[in-house]
This record gives sequence, structure tokens and C-alpha cells, in this order.
Amino acid sequence: MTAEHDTLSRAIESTLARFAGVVRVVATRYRLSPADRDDLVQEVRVRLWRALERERIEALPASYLYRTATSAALDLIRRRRTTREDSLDEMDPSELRLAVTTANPEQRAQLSDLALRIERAIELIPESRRPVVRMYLAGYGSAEIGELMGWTEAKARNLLYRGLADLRQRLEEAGVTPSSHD
Amino acid sequence: MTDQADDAALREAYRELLDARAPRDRSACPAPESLLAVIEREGDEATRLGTLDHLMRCDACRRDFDLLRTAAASAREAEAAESAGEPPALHVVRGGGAPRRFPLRSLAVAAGLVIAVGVGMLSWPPGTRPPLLRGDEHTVVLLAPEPRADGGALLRWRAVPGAAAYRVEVFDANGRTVVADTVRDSTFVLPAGAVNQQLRWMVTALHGDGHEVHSRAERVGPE
Repeated sequence: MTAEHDTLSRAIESTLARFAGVVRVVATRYRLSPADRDDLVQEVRVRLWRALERERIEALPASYLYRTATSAALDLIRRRRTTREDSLDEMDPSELRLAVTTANPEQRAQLSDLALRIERAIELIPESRRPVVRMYLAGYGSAEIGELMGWTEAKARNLLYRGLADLRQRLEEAGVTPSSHD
Repeated sequence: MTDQADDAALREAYRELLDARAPRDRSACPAPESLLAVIEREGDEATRLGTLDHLMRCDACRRDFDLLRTAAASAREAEAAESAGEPPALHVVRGGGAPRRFPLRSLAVAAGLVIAVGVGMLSWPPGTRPPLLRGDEHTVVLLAPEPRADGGALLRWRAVPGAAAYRVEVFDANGRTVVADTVRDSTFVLPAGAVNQQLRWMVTALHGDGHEVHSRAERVGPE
């Protein structure tokens, strides 16, 4: 084992430690589960070590961590989807029919009246505004929406304002007023 | 009811909708690469909006998306620190030539970050190399593995104050995890069957508040 190899391995460990520290903060920001967070760090750790051991890299290029992290996440997602498809393959056909139904009928029957009306109201607002409204209802703020779309926050806020106005109008037409939400 | 409370009620009801949609077939879900395109803002806006519209209706895809954007944002933030003017941490020296600047600058100076500062090589059998790796309060200090009569190895490390448990990970030269376990003690027995190849092992101290302290990854196994 050369001193050079050891130096690089220490650098990788430092990179991993830093990455893990940043992931902990970012995962909280994006509401990522601890299990997913740990899977991600582990996958990146394995890939960086593999690069050192197998690819015999001399140094990590500037964008190496970004490429490694995103490809690790993509692989985790593919693996997760494959596992899920495998589990669907093992299901009884009658169960499978239920599984591919958009909504679970039993759960749907328990949905509140407001939830059902929201579902219908969203379908009635202009298609271009639906994603922004859904993002807001899913917990995203205008700043985060702007960041995701590459918009200024002002633009995101404006589109959100219009979308929510549409939604409220449709809800009122369906007999839902703010005071009736309680 | 205030507008704020009104929004909270709407969001709560929307949450119900998302919960009611599981389980579902993923065949209609966007490809993972489409999620990355949203994060990297590649492709036309209408397509990205369409992907986002699906994400906001599909909890499984949103979980995928959150994983991917956590990976991307974390890597970007870690790399951004490098370009923030921090001094380089390491140089890789080849032969007797001039020092080669290691492109990843020191990440050590950022407050609160964990740095592994141990030096030296731990190898098998113990005693042929320095047995103790240097560290500080931010590092789990690994001690030299002890061979066991049954052919296995006793992995040991210094207890970290306040740690609730330790995650022990052992992986082979290809990065495949050979052993992974969580223990409360500061020792772990690596079975004989696993110690027939060159391995790396590392320990993460887990604190009750979610805080983690990592060790270096060190070698164990035959020379």
C-alpha cells in the first residue's frame, strides 16, 4: 500500500464525512426519511471506495461527488422500483387488480368530503396551474416552487396566487367555503 | 376561519388524497432520469411541469424525487465549499515529483463537520503496524483488531461519549458490504468466514439526537 494511496483514501474519507454531514441537513430540509438518507450515504461511500480500489483513480475530479451522488440515487430508485415490481409479480391476480387501481376503494370511502371536492376542483382549474397548486397543497412554498422550476420567487408567488384563486373559486362553486372546512 | 387555517385544512385534505392513492403500479410513473431532469432543469418547462404534476400526486415518486434532490443538493453544497476559497487539504504526490494538488479542498474548517484525521495503516495481523489511529473528539478511534482462536477477529474502538449505539460496517475491495450491524458495545466479533480476504471496516457512533460521528475506514484481514 503506497503513501499516495493512503493519502487519497484519507481524502475520500474526509469527503464522505463532509457529504454525510451535509446530507443530514439537506435531508431534513427535503423531508427525506432517515432510512433513505442512510441508504444514500452508504451507496456513495461504496462508490467512492470502489473508485479508489478498482478504478485506481489518482484524485477526485471537481464534479465527481455530484456525479457519484446522483448516479447512486438513481440506482437506489431503480432498485427500489424493481423490488416493488417483483413484489407485485408475486401477488395473486385479484390482489394485483386492486393494487394497480388508482385509489384504494376502502380508503377512498373514508376520504373526507373536502378531500373528494379538492380532487375534483383541481381537475377543473387550468392545466398549466395544476402543478403549482398541487405543490402548494403538498407542502411546498413559493420559494421552493420557484427554485424547482428556475423561476423567481415573485413569478412562483404570482402563479400560485392565481392557481389558488382558481381552486377556491371551484371549491366555492362546489359549496365549499372557508368556514365550512372545519 | 383565517386564510392560514383554511390553507392548513386544504393541505390536510390533500394529504388524505395522497394516502388513499397507495399502493399503485409504478409503470406509469416518470423514469428516474425525468426526475433528475427536473432537478437539473433540463428539457422544456412544460415537460418538467408535467413531471412535477405527477410527483405531487404520487407519494412513491415524491419519495424518489426527495432522495434524488437530496443527493444533488448535498453534493453541490459540499462542492461549493471547495470553491469558496478554503485552502486545499491534501496533495497527492506521485513518485518524487512535485506535489499534486488534490482537487477536493479541505472540508475540515467548516464548523460542525466531521473530519477523520487518523493517520497510519492498520493491518492484519496486529502488531506489525501502529496499533492505534490518531483521532479527536469528532472521530471514532479504531483500535487494532485482535485475532481470535476461531480464526475470526475482534474489532474494537474507543467508546464515544454520549453515543447510544454504533453501526459497524465491513466491506470488501469492491465496496460490497460484507457485514453491517448495530451494536451498543464498543466491540464487534467478525466471524472467521469473513476474515479470509482483505476488508475495510468502519464504525459510526449514533447519538440519540441523530448526530453521527464516523471513523476512518481501515483494513482488516490477511496482508
